[in-house]
Amino acid sequence: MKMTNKRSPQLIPAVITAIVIASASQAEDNHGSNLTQMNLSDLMLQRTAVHRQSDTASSVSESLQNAPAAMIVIRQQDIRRRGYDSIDDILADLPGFDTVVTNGTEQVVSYQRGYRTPWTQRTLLLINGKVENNLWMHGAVLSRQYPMSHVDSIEILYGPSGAVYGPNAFLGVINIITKNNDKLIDGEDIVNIQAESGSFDSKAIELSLRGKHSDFGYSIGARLFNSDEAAIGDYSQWGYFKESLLRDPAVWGAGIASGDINLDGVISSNELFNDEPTGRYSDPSENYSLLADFYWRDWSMGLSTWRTDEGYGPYYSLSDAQPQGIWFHTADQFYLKNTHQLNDTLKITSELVYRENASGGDWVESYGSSLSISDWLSNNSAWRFEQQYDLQLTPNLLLSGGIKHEEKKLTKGYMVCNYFDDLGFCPAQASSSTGGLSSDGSGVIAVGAIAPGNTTPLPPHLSSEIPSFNIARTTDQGLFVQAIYDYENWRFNGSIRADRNSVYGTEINPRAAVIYHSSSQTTYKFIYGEAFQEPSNKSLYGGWNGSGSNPAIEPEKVRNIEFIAMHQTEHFLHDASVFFSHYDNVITSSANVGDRDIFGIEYRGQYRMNNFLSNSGDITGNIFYTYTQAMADQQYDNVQGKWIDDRDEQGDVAPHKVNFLMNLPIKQNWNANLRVNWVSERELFSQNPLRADSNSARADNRKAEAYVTVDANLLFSHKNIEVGLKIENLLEEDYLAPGVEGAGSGDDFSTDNDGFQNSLLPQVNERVFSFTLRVEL
Amino acid sequence: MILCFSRPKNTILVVALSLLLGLLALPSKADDTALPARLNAALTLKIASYELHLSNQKHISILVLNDLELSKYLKERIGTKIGNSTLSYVNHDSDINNYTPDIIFVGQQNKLNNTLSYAHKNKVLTITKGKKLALSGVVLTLYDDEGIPGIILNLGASKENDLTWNPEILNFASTIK
Repeated sequence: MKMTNKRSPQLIPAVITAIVIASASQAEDNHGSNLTQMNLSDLMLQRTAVHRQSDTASSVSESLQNAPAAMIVIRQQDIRRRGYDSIDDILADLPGFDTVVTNGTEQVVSYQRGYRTPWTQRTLLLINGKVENNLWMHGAVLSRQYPMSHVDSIEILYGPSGAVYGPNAFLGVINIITKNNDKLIDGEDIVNIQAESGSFDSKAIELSLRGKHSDFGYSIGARLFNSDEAAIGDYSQWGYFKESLLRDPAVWGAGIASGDINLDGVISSNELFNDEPTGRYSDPSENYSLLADFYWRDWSMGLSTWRTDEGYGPYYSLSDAQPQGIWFHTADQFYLKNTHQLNDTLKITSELVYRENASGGDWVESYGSSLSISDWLSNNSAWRFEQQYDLQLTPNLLLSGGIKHEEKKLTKGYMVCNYFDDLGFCPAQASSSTGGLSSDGSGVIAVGAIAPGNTTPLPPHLSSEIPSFNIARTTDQGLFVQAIYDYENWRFNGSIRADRNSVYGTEINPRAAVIYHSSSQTTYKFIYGEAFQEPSNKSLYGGWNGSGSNPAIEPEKVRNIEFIAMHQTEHFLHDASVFFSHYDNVITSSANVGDRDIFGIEYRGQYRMNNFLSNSGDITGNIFYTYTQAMADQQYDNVQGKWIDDRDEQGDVAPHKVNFLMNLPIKQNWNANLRVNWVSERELFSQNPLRADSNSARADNRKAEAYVTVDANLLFSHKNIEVGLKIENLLEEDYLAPGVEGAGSGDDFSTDNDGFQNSLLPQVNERVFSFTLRVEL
Repeated sequence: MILCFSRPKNTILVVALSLLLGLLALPSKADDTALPARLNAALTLKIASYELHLSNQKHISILVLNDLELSKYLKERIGTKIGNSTLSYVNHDSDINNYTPDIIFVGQQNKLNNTLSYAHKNKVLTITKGKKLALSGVVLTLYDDEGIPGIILNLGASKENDLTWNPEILNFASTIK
């Protein structure tokens, strides 16, 4: 990179001229933290974590120390040491995330920075920078599908990033970066094979292949996973989670309760759901993925395809839903990318992405006295073209800009057959339905009427084709500019982005960050950022029993101000954030329900200390603390059945959380890792009928209790082979987590109030073992 | 250990385990201990100033083998003082070819023996990243020591290459022979 000393011509705006002149007089270090001016003592105290490069925050490569956001990076080494065998494992150990393991249709639901949503819908999930969130309901599917041995690192960013990413980078970003061939030498091929086996007959196998041959390179990762999942007896006690409910003919009728749905005396194959009959508990899961990237000179192309099939587990009251059915999510993505370094100063990156995803599955329901067996589907696709320009105008000034054009073809409401008349869309039954489009109600049978010859019918075949009347086509166009300027120990990062959606119009989102390196050890960041969240088609059109829809919903908006301080010493890296976020037009229950304010403190500490064992590496780890105060302007009144103005605690978010992670190397070949997570007691969300101040029919206020979990992983490594033994929930903690979505079941187990989602979610209260074998060739 | 989704027969298990055990002899290619490139570049230049010959010559040239990112950061530092010397040239390649460097940074293990014998013959300082090559005869190893930089000085290789160090380096580096 050559330093320029040109004076800007008069035509260039004065402010740019001033910047260029000032930057030309700077010292050689153009990154603010002046590494080359440090003496060796200072350099040896630098924490490597703060100098790792990332482009997740600004879409250009910068060190974490210079990123305009709070970030955590989990490296492959951490993944192996901690025994993370799937992406959902990681969330519980992160500060700023309230994570509920549902073991249901969404394996986990996690709320970042205290913002409660029905699912994990406001955190942007990326794989190598490409969006993974479901197109229809915006959910990040965080299950067991990704091959963790093929992951190089996972970067977690906190705070809105609409100025760079456009829509839906609302609370933060999780960017999964897979291994590439950048660090391979010509002619090198690397093969990793990993096999896992564990409790509940869980099994997985993974493959990671990488190679480089002259201008050609490849990187391929794959994973297969299946599990029977925990049995009811392995969970904490909850009155709506008893197998006897599934067999109760008063709830399910004689057919579904016995598994012989048509009451012909035989349980035939078409009466099985994922090979299991109704009327008994089973919760099988099967996930797979294939991630492939191919490189040729400046070009890369690739695909990712994955599927999750999940049983319902304890997600729903067993009085309302049979758990054996499979709920699936699929995602397929194809891309072509070119990175062209035009000259020493200008780089142009162009990317074309096509993606599809679908979700749906079987649903065996008891609602009131009505029984139905239905089939659900949403199918969506989108293509996107993006181009980014990075211009290193001077050694100290980087200008970036980009454009985006995206076209989406989205299902409006669920395709669903055999359901209530006028709900969903079902071509096979449309002609006899009231509106001419939906299920006709013929599949819904009163429980008291079930008898041989009048049983619950199985649904007709549902095509994956979505009829044109049920498709919404939208166009998103985006334009952003960003300037990053270093001046002595200061860095200034400013960006602004305009996004125009064919339905919602134009949104403008700025971000400004001032970063000051006060010494070789200490850095301060002041950040202001905004983002917006488009309403999902699920919220706009996807109503069903227990969930409304509203085409008039407005986008959500967040404004966040944050102060970050980082201080590094030989034994500690202290990294703390204080933030305040204001949210407008909060969307929940398919409605805009006013504003929310969230104040938070996050401490992300790393420590390193001498090992008490001889000939063993240092003990390292993390201490995270999260304080969150989340207030909402509207609460759901469970008696009136509507949202009302009442500023109070939002709920479902723990005020205090502590994560303690410790890694203990033992001699040359062994490594022990311990993870302890404490979550304080928390008020429940106002839709939850267990919360007394939102349910005048209830006397006692029930909260989600505090809990502490302990997980351990023991690793043995020798040359190219590694063996791991992981034990989760080492102390057999027994607790209930807050329910998700409407969480409406209540806790009066003597009756069924058709709330569907359990108000409190049973958690596995036994030790969970898994054994991993990893080989590199 | 179950390696497939149908229940394996014993023979499959035995064959699979035998295969895996047979692989024990293969060395691992993985290395998680490399420093971030920018920190690596700064350390490389700083520590070179502790070698007395290098720090007292007029110009210093560095050849980076198989580490494009590091060479990028080093090139940004051309003109930097290294003791009384100045970093004047930084090249990146996969082999020594016709370069006459004062320092060779070995990014990846490629023709390592050729590189080390060239360095020995021409009294060149060799540096590598990550602990994987620490025992292979490279003079200096810069690595991520559980979150902070670590330096390993190979005294034997240093002596063979006729290098003379400021004794203060021992305050920062661990040594191997």
